[in-house]
This record gives sequence, structure tokens and C-alpha cells, in this order.
Amino acid sequence: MSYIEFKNVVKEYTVGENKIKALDGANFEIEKGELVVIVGPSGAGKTTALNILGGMDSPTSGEVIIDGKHVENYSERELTYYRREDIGFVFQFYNLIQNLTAVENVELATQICKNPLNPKKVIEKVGLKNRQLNFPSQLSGGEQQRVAIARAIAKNPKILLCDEPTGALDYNTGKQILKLLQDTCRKENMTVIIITHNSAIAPMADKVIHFKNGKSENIIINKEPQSIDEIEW
Amino acid sequence: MKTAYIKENFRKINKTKTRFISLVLIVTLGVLFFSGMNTVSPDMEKTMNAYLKEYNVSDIQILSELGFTDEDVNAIKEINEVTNVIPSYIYDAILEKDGKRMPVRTNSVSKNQTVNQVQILEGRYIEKENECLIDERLVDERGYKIGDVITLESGNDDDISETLKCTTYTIVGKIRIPTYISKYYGSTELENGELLGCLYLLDSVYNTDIYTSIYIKTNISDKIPKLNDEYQEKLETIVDKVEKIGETRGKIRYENVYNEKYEEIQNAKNKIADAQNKLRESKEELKKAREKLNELSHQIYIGQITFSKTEIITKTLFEQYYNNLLEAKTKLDDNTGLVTDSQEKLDADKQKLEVAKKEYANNEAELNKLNLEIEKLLKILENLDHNSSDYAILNRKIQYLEQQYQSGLKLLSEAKVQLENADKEIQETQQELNIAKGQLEEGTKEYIKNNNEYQNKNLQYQGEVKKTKDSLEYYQKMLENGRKTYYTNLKYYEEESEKANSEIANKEKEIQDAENKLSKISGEWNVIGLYDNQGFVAFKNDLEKVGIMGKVFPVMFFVVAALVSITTITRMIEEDRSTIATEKALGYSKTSIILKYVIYTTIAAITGLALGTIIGSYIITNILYEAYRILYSSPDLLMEINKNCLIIAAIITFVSTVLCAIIITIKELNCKTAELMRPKAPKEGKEIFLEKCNGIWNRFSFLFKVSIRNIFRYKRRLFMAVIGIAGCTALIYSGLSLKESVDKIATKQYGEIKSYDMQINLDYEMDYETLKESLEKIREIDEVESATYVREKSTDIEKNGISKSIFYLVGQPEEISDYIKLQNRKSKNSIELNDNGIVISEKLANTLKVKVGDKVKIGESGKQIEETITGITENYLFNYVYMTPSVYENIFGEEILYNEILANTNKLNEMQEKELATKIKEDDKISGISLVRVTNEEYIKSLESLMTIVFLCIGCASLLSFIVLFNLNSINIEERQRELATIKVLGFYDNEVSSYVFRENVILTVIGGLVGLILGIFILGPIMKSGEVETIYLPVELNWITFAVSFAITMVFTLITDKIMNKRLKKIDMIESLKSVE
Ligand SMILES: Nc1ncnc2c1ncn2[C@@H]1O[C@H](COP(=O)(O)OP(=O)(O)OP(=O)(O)O)[C@@H](O)[C@H]1O
Ligand SMILES: [Mg+2]
Repeated sequence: MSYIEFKNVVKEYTVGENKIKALDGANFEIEKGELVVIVGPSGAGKTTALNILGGMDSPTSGEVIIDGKHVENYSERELTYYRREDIGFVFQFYNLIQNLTAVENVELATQICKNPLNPKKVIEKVGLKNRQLNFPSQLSGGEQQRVAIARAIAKNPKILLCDEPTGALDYNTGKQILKLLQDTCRKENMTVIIITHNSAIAPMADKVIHFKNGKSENIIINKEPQSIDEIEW
Repeated sequence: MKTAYIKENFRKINKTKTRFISLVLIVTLGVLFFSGMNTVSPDMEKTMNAYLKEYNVSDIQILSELGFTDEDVNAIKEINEVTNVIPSYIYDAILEKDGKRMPVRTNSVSKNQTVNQVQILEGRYIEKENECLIDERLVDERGYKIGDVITLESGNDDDISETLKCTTYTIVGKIRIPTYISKYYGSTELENGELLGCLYLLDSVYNTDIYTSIYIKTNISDKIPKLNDEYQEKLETIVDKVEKIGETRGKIRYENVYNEKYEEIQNAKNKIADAQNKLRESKEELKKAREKLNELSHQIYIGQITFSKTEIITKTLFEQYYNNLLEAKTKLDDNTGLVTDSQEKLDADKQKLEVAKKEYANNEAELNKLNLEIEKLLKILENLDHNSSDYAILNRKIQYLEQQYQSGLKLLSEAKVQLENADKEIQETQQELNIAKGQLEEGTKEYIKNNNEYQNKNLQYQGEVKKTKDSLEYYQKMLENGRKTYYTNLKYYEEESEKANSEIANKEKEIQDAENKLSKISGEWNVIGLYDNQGFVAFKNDLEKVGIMGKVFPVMFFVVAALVSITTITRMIEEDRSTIATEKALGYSKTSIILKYVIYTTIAAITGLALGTIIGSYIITNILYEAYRILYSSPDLLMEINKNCLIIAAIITFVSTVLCAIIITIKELNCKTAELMRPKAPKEGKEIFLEKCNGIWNRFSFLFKVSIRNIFRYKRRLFMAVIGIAGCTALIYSGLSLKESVDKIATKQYGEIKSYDMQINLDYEMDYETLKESLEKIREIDEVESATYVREKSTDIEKNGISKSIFYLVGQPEEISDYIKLQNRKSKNSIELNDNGIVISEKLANTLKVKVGDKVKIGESGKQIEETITGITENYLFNYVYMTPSVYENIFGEEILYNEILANTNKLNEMQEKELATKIKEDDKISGISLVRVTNEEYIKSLESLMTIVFLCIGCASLLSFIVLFNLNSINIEERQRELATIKVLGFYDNEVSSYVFRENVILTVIGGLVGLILGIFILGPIMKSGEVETIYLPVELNWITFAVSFAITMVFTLITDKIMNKRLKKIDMIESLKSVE
């Protein structure tokens, strides 16, 4: 049994009279410590899948099994606990707390976990030692995203979920971020799932899941994933 | 286009329902309170002016101890400004209901009363002499109703029918009396001095031609509203004129009454003399009666002696006579015995004689026989041979017989002689005896005659004795009766004379009193302008108080409300930036975009303004007025929208809503469209000053630091919240403090400071010697613990050019501390009353700006003397100066006379105290008693209206505080939705999310609360000042408990808001909020 199992997951939204199926029987499996990239056209249901995976949403039907536990049956509180202990999120728009410095943003996340990493060390790890006392507004987008990643990994989660983490960044900065994620995956043996519109980076992943019309159409396993440094696009 | 516009607006309102409602609510609340508090004062003024005018209330009332005559009335009519003079009668009587004796005041009205009319609330106007009108208080509080028949009693020794033609009346109407707006009817000499109600009777019911009171109507009456200051000014000059007339008329009346009374006293004195004469006469008569009785008794005595002497002599005489008679009788009896014996012997002799005669006869017969026989025998013999033996025998026998016959014959003849002798002797003896008998008979006859005579005489004598005795007895009885009558008369006389004497003594005392009174009466006129009418003054004062309240509280309130609405509107427009941008991009003109918000805010502002003004002017005013109405008997409030108030409210409202919307929209529109399209960048984070002090900052927990920084990040929110919360806390605090302080005053003034239970008023001012008896009597009552005597009056005091009218109290330095605590307010050290100077009350000291050791001028103006202040004492009601008798005598230059007795009772309840008061009042020298308990209750009641304002403030402040907190929180959550969603994603539990937000609220509340305390202290001062009347001292004391309570109240609101906001927090959708920016 895989670490993460997504079985026949359906997510329906009701807008007025219409029912929109954001996920229409998605199936995939992810192993522990894998770096997974999810690609697909806009509206394919990537974000929806990731949100369900991250415990921010529940599926309409289907099973979501993580580490042998049925997340789809979790209550609101259990989901919160799950987010708190097992999941790290990185968003396209960073979503840092504006009123907190870089290190404080990290610290905020660690306040509630059982086994957090040292915020300062994490900040150091993402290469922002010198900027740790800066407020988000004083940081560039890339730096902010790095803070966001630091915030996510400082919680020492089992799974790191990133929804278009480089979407708002330029090429180099994006690359740095992806590098950071790859490193984290490899060094900390963390399961990392990245949504991207840039299929060019697919080679860096252990597994690439293609989404289309709410379904995981194509799952490719890279026997030999490349380091992001080697990938150009 | 336009309809689309309006439609869009309504859609917007519908979409933002809560916000719109809260905006309307804020405006409403601010306006409501502002207009309510500011309108009530002018409304009340208008109401009262209209009321006084409608019922044609007189401008001046004159009272005089001696009453008024028609000449007085005519004299007043002479004054130019006077348009109408209405003499009337006032008489206090007792009304009894369910065992409670209530002193009430009766007033006269005429059938067609034009001035001082009364408002008929129920029933009809008075028509007949046996009908009465009754004031609403008696109906509402004492349960009388129309149709009831009531009976009036005089309540003292006076005969009520001397004053009133009828004593029973039927209630025909329930009335409200414009001349008694304060419900205070004045004091009376009846019962415990408190008048409980008022009756109106027809003027013809009063049996007197001396008016008790005169009402005057002047020509300014209808021209100037009576509550205006101008009215008072103008009226004062008229009052002066009336007073001037009063000076001369009063003197005349005084002289008349004096002479009349003097004559009365003289008459009374004469009567006493008459009575005394009569007594003397009856005494004399009694004496004469006594003498007569004595004489009679003497005569009886002599009579008795004479009688008994005569009786003895007569008795002896009678006895002798009787003895003689007895002797005669004995002799007679003896003689009779002898005669009887002789007779008996004679009779025996006669019998013997008879027997002898019979024997003789027998012998004769036998002889005859013998003879016969002889003869026979002889014959036989003859026949017989004579010698026959037989003859011989016979012859012998005849011989013998013859012999015998012969001897018998001889014997017989002898016997015959003897018999004849005896017979003769008997005859003789008989004759003798008969003579003796005759003599005896005569003797007896004489004896009987004598005896009869004796008996007769005796009878006659006995009769005479009886007669004498009877007459003696008669006289004795007469004497006894006389004595009885005499003693009855004597007893009667003694009783009567005692009665008469005590009556005379009473009368003498009465005369003494009357003389005393006469020496004290004054015909002085007490001219009372309407502006001095008790109720009128109180009402005016209250008006001013409400006015000041209206200036302090609601302004504060309104500012907060305006700030909240500004924040709300700003937030709303900022949220709409993308819409604005789109519209701008689509080519809408700036004005049309602005107009949208103008319309939105205008609708909110007008709705709020209208609601607020209507509720404020028609409901709040009424609530406040009703509170004041407890104290008054006044008509329903004439409610009106106060234009000035409305204009101010409208300006503030429009500035804080519409203008605010315009400015902000313009500001937004001035940004580049592209910039507008993006959401407003979240506020940047910044270090706050606190972080510079590492010592403190590092001590905080991480999340606490976050909260602190957040608080300072949203400056507007910080500012708003602090002002809002502080304002509310301050309002609540000052409200509670005021209540606290007022509550305290009553207990302090009447519990601690004036610790006596009863104030007993003396009938007139008297020296110690005069009041001593009454005082001792009071002290002897079991229920009375102690009592002392004081003089309490008013006079003037002056210092630093400030002159004040004050009460002074002269007491005995050793005793006064048991009745009135003279002490320093703060240290509670007691202050001694001594001959070195005076002790004055704290507020007076503050007003005069003096301290211990300073000298002040005291006494009636013109005759003031400098005195040293030896102490400043705690006091809350009225201005007081305390002094010793010798200081008094120094100041006033006359011997001290006392007018009050103060008493402490032995823990009595109200009923017992009232009973005690009635008991004490029996003393003639005591005119009235006021129970401190009652005074206290009245005072507390009089402050109830203040309390309503306080509660209204607290209530509205709470509501405002609630709205402020709610709004701020709601804005806060909306603004920070993304941030909150983020931390939710991070795995914060709901309660952690709440505390993340509400920790900030709590901190804000604490800051606001603390600022509120400071603010409260600043607001409190002016509020207290406005609550203070001339005579009340409200100490501004910091009270931590009150602060804690007001703080807690605000805190509770925070917590309630938090609870409501929790739901909003839970509803925040992470995915939705974190979706790529718009
Ligand atoms: N809350 C929602 N209500 C209604 N429909 C939704 C909602 N969220 C997502 N959808 C719909 O579900 C589908 C999947 O959306 P999702 O955000 O998962 O797409 P995506 O693959 O992440 O696209 P993109 O690459 O543009 O981010 C879309 O058609 C979207 O319109
Ligand atoms: Mg997406």
C-alpha cells in the first residue's frame, strides 16, 4: 500500500442549478519521500486535488488514504489536526502574515506543532539568514516564497504541498525555489507535491501526474529524476 | 440609467445588510441620545410654560400669619401692574383613611375660578358646598376615588365647624394643581408636620372673612413665559411694590388683630375673675350652710338635753304617782281580800246558818212528825184501853215521845233563838260588809279613776315624749340630711373648684401663651413671587441639570458614534475598490461613482437621523421626563423636535457619513485605475516602539507579541477601539460613580453626619428655662435615647466678596456630637465646637475659598461680625455653620433663644417613630416634628430622576460600546480574512484562531478601559458639578470598585462580541480566501 492513495475521488461543486465536477474520479498513489509534480490544464482540478490532500477540503466521494488513514472521513477538528501536524502548504501568492518578520512567520507556524524545527535554522536553510528580521513587504517575491517554504517545512510535516509555487516568480527565482523544494525532499525525505503549469520541470520529479477534466490521466514515473539544476526551460 | 442606479444602490444595501443596519444603528444611537438629552430640557420648559399659562397661574402669592382683609385686597389692586387679585382660604385638616391620619391642605376655589385653575383629570368641577376636588397624588397614592365621601377633622382642639361649614364632602374630581407642581404642599402644624395632599373646596364653605392667602395676577403674566429669566426680573420689581404695600397694610392688620386679641385676652381675664368670684361665692354659701347646720345641731343638742331632763323628772313624778296608785291598789286589794274573806266567812256562816236552819227545819219537821206521831199515838192510845199494856207501853212511849218532843221543842226554841241571833248577826255583819264593800267599791272607783287618770296622763305624756322625740328625730334627720347635702355640696364644690381652678390655671396659661403669642405676632406679608415657588424653583433647577447633562454625556457619545460610522464607511469603500476601478475603466464619470456612495450613505444617514430624532425627541425625552415627574405633579410632556439640536445632529451625521464617503471615494478615484484593480495591499508590518525595549518585549509570549504588533499595525482600529471603549467605560464609570456618590450622600448625610432621628420644632423661639420642661418630658420617654436643644436658622456669610445664605446651628458643645458629627471628611478626625469661632461645612469653605484660621463675616447683612473658622466639617446637603451659644450671642448681640430639639431614638421602626412623634406633639410647645428617616427617603426619591439619566447613560453607553466593538471586530475580520485563512491552513484550531484575534480585542479593551478611567475622572467632575445644586456637595472620590464594575461591563461586551464573532471566524473559507488574489 502506498503512502498516499487517491481512489476514485469525486468533488462536486454546485453553482446555482449546475453541478460542476472539479474532480471526477481521480486516482493516484504516491510513495513516501517522493517528489511529485502535478500538471494539467487550467480547471483540470489540480488545486482541488491538492486541497483535498491537504485537508482543506473534503471530497464528495472516493477515498483519500494517507499513511493508512482515511482522511475523507475526518471531522473538521481532525482535519485541522492533520493540517497542523502532517501538512505543509506553499501557495502561489505566499500568504505570509504581513505583520510578522520572516523569522516570525516561521515561528508562528512552529508555535502549534509538536516537533517543529528551529525557525532560525530553517530560515538559514532557505538562505535568508540576513533577511530574517525583515517584514514580508521588505522582501522580494522569491524571498517571500522562500519564507513561505521555510514556514511550511519548519512544521516538520510529512507532506509538503505546493500550488504553483513559482507562478509569480521569474525564471531564476523560480528555479531557486524548485531547488529548495527538491533539496528538502531529498534531504529531509519529505513527500513533496508540486502543482505547476510548467511541464518542463517534470523531469525533476519521481512521479508526474497529469490531470485533465478532473481525472488523473497519466501517471509517469521517472526512474531517474534530474536535479533541477540540470533542467533548463 | 437613474433607476438602474437606484436599483444598484438597493442591491448594494441588501447585499451589505448587516453593515447598512449597523451604520443606521450607529447614527440612530448617536442622534437619539444627543437629541433626546438636548430636547428634554426645552420640552420641559415649554410644557411648564404652557401649563402655567393655560391654567392662568398667578404670579405672586402672599401669605401672612394674620391673614388679610378686603382692605388689603383693595390696596393691592391699586398697583398698576396688578391685573387681578384673588383672595383665598387655606385650611389644614386631617383626613383619616384605614387608621392613618393624613394632614391635608384645603384650598378654596370659586365656581368660576379664572386664576389658578386646576386641571381636571377625571370627574368634574366642583358645584356644591359638600363637594370637593382631590389632587392626583391622594388618588394615586392613597387610593381615594371619585364618589368617595370623606370627612375632615380639625386634628387639634379647634372645632372644625368654626372654619368649615361642612365636614363631609363627596369627591367629584381628580385634579392636577398648577400651583403645587412639586407635590410639596408645605408644612403644617398637624400630626408630624408633613402634608400629604391637597383638597379644593368651594370658597363659600369657609366660615371666615379673613383671607389666608392672596394670589396676584400681573400684566407680565401672559406676556413672558414664566420660566424665562426676564419674567423673574420683571416680577421682582412688582414683588417689591407688593412688599411695600405689605409694610403699611401689615402694620394696620397687626394693630387691629392686636387690639382685638388684646380685648379677647382682657375678656378672658375678666371671665377668669368672674369664675374666681363665683367660686368664692359658692365657698361662702357653703360656709353659711355649714354654720346653719352647726346651729341646728346645737339646738338639737339642747333640745335633747332638755327633753332628757324633763323626761327624768316626769318619769319620777309618774313613778311616784304610779307607786301611790300601786299602794292604793294594794290596799284596795287587801281590803277587797278582807271583804272577800269576811264575805266568805259570812257566806260560810250563812251556809252554816242555812245548814243550821235546815237542821232546824229538819228538827222542826221531825218534831212535827214526832208530834204527829204522838198525836197519832195518842189517838191510838185513846182508842186503846189505857191500861192495856199496850197503852202503858204506848203511853210510856208517848210520854217518852212527849218528853222527847218537849226537849226537842225546847231545844228547837233554843235553836230558834240561836238561829235568830245568828241570822241577826249575819244580817248585821252583812250590813257591815256591805258598807265595807261600798267603801271598797268607792275606793276601787277612785283607784280606777286615778288609774285612768294616770293612764291617760301617762299616755298623754308618752305621746308628748314621742312627739318630742319625733321632732328631735326630725331635726336630727334634717341635720343629717343637711350634713349630707352639705358634704355633697362640699365635695361638689371641691371637685368643681379644683376643675375650675385647673381650668383657670389653663386659661391663665392660655392667656399667658396668647399674650406671648400676641407679643410675637406679626402682620408681616410674605410675598412669594412664582420664581420662589418651591416646585417652580425645583423644576427650574432640574431643567438646568438636565440641560448640563445633555451637554456632557451625549456629545461624547456622538463623537464615538461618528468615528465608528467613519470607519465603517471607509472600510466599505476600500473593499469596493475593484468595483470602483471597473466602473472607472468602463467609463463611468467620477461624479456618478461618488454619487453611488453618497446615495448609500445618505439613505443610511437620513434613516438614522430620522429614527434617532424621532426616538430621541419622543421616547427618550419622555423617559427622562417621566423620571422627573416622580417629583412633580405636572402635565404630559409637550414633545417637539428641537431644531437646533436637529441641525447639529444632521451636520455631524452628514459629515461623518456622506462627506466621509465623498472624501474617501475621491481619494480612491484619484489612484490609477490599474492600482485600483489590485486589492489594496495589506498593511505592511512594522516594528513597534515596544520592541525597542528588549527587556519588556522579550518577556512576552510569541503570540502575545503578534497581537501587540497587530494592535499597533491597525492604528485606526486602535484609535477607534480605544476611544470607543474608553468612552463607554468612562460613561458607565461616571454614571455608576454618580449613583454611588448620590447613594452615599443620603446615607452619609442622614446616617453618619446628622445622626439624630428626630427634629422637633418648638412652637416659638424660647430660652432654655422655657423649653426645659418639654425637653425633660421628651427625655423621659422610654423610646427616646437622648435629646438636646439647638437653634437652627438661616443667615448670611461673606468672604472674598462672595456672599452666601447659609444655615447656622447653635448647639451645646458637650452634647452636639451625639447628634451631628463634626469631622474632617478625609481623616474622620472629629472637630470640637468651641467658643473661639465657628465650624463651617466643606462645600461652603470651598465656595468661599477659606481654610481653618481664616476669618469670615457672618450675620444679617449690615450687622455682620468677623469670626474665625475653627474647623471645616464633612457635609453634603446644604451649607452649614456650627457655633456655640456664646459665639452666637457675640455675633447676633442678643440672648440665645432655641427653636429645635434634636432627639435620638432607640432603634425604632418607622411606625413606632411616627407614633412617638404624635405623642411628643401633644406638648403645646412643640409645633412640628420631622423624622430624619422620612427626610432621607424624600431626598433619595428626589434623586431618582438623576438615576434615570444615569441608567439611560449606562444603557446607551453599553449599547454604543457593543456596536463599536461589533463593528470594529467585523471590520477587523473582514480586513484580515486572508491572514486568518492562512493560520487556519497552518492548522490553528478554531479556538486558537479566535484567541489569535480576540487577544487583540482584550488588549484593546484593557487599554480602552484604562484610558476610560482617566477620561472618566475628567468627565465625572463636570457631571458631578451638574448634579450638584447650590446646596449639595458631591464629593468626587475615586472608587476602584465602581471602576472595576464599569470595566467588567465593557469586558462583558467584548466577550459577547467575541462569541458572536466566533461564528464569523468559523465561517471563513480557507480555499476561497486564499484563492489567487481576486
Ligand atoms: N468553489 C468552487 N465552486 C465552483 N466551482 C469550482 C470551485 N473551485 C473550483 N471549481 C471548479 O472546479 C474546476 C477545477 O478547478 P481547480 O481550481 O482545481 O483547477 P486547476 O486545475 O487548479 O486550474 P488552474 O490551473 O487554473 O489553477 C474548475 O472548473 C473550477 O471552475
Ligand atoms: Mg489551480
